[in-house]
Amino acid sequence: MTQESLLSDDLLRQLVAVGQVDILVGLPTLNHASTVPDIVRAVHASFSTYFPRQRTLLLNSDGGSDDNTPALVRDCCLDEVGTVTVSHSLRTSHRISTPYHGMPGKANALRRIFAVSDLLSAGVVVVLDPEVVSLTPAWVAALAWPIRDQQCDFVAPVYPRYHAEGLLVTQLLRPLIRAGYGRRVREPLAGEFGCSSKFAAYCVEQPVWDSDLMQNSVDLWLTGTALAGPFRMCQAWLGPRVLATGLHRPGLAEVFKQIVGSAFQTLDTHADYWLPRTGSEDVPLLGTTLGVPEDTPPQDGAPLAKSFSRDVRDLNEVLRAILTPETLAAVAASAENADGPRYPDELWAATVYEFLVAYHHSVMRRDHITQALLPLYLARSGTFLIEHAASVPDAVNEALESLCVQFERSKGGAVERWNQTT
Amino acid sequence: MAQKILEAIEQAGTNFVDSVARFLPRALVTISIVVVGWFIAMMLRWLIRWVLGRLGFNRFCERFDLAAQLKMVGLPSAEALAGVVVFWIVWVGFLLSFVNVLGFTMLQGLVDGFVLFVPRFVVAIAILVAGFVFGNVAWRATLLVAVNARVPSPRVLSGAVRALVLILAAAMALDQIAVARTIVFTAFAIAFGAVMLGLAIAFGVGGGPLARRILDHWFPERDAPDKDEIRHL
Repeated sequence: MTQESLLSDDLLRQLVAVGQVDILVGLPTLNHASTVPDIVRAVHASFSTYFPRQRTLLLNSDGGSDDNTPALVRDCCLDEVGTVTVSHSLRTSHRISTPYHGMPGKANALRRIFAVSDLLSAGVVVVLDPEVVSLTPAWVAALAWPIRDQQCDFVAPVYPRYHAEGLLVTQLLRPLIRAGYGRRVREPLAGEFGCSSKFAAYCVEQPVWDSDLMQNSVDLWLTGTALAGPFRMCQAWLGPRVLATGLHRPGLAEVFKQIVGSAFQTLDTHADYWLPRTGSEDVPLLGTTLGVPEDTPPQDGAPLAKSFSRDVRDLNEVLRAILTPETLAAVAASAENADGPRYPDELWAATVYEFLVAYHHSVMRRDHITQALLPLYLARSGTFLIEHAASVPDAVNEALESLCVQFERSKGGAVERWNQTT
Repeated sequence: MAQKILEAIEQAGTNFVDSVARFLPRALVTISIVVVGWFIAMMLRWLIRWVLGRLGFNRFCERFDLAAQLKMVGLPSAEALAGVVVFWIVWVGFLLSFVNVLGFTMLQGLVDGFVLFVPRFVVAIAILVAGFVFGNVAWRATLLVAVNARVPSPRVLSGAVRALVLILAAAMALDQIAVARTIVFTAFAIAFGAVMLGLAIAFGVGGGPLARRILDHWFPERDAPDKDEIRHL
């Protein structure tokens, strides 16, 4: 599909009126009326504070909201911000809200945002998550500056987190993506990101937009593409990521299936790039943290790990088709451990890699493979929380680093099995 | 008198020679058909195995647990089994065709019956295989969803789903080949109705709180705060 056919006539007319822009902020939405006004204000505050001399555009790509989200974006009054504006943009800040047709989802929205950025030759593209309520004007600047001043092509976010937060990222995605691609990306699931027009143009040309991969979770594919492609990548500190409450979100089982499926499929897509790589190298981290996370009570891992042994027994037949007999025996032994369930780093790394290889070889329906990993992930997360209940943050960070290193060490065996029956 | 006897013997001999002369070519043709049929059946068996092998049929069957189930009941691999089925259908078809050649009109009904039976048999096999595949997928899907949703006794639940699908497929297959159609239909209706009624009564009497929990889980209040304190993302 060409860019012209992706963009409606009405949108094209509006874009012609806007002309070329320097910074484009994309906001994909679907029923986000409760959160978008604050985000629109933050974006415009960012434009006037940090980019007063730049030509800017806020583009809202809406998936068919029935709660008036597009109108709120269009008509949001910037004076309601309640703060004294200390600077004003010297150029007009444009704002467009446009619906897109087809399956509602972030991928379709992003595809149009990228197409618009290509059409308007936007030097910098920043994409924001409409569900984040902790977003400040500085976030936009933090994601845009590395593109404009450091010639980066993709800026991944880094959020300050407590150790019990973001377990799916810290226990699975971060070590897997780091060991796979050989780059130390802290937040592979980039909810917000910045990118260059080169990266946006490259992405929009890829023949993947209508695939299941994109419908599940486009964020990991973007990170994987930035890592595997000819792009300069960096990371930027943002503030704590707080999501709006009260929004209807899918449960953990559905989210896990989508995100882990997307991670496995992205690795499958970029296999030629990552299979021969060993070790890992740093990705530059720019800026300073824009806040600290709110104090959270200690998290109890016991509820997550309590059904470990029962789950392993229940899923034995399914796990037998995915895991090697040695790994399955070790998982069963860990689940039945007399001193309480344990899931050591080495075993967890082997488990994840064997699931990845099973996914690659499609030993069963692929969504069943990712669903079967969820109880093991919960057990691993639970045992990690129990183990580090009394640990200081530095010790937890060391443990997380050690897990990443273990994933790098275990990669060789996975590559062997990957190639064995190809 | 002796002349008449000689003439009768001569006539009988002539008739025998004529019969043999008439029968021998048919017998040779029959033997040829049987031999050629055997070769063709063997070739088709090999061809089917080769084509299915190229298509990765065994891997497909492994994906749906069919391979493991075949192994469990002592049957060969799915490719080999498909080859054997094709071999016997073709081979028996050739064997029965000799009835036509030899002119055994009494056996013609058997041949016609076989010709009508083969397509139904193939469809029945296809129904069984489809039932098996669907049953295993449904079993695994139910098991995974039940485990992840913390539903009690996930193995019992998923096993029941698989059993129901397999019983349904078996009943449909038997109906297709018209084996004891009335008995199969009646037995299936009674058994299925009894199981469903039993489940409904059991669930209604003993599972009220469970039903409430399941419904609460399936249809949560839209604005209810997330009860899971752990933030996974």
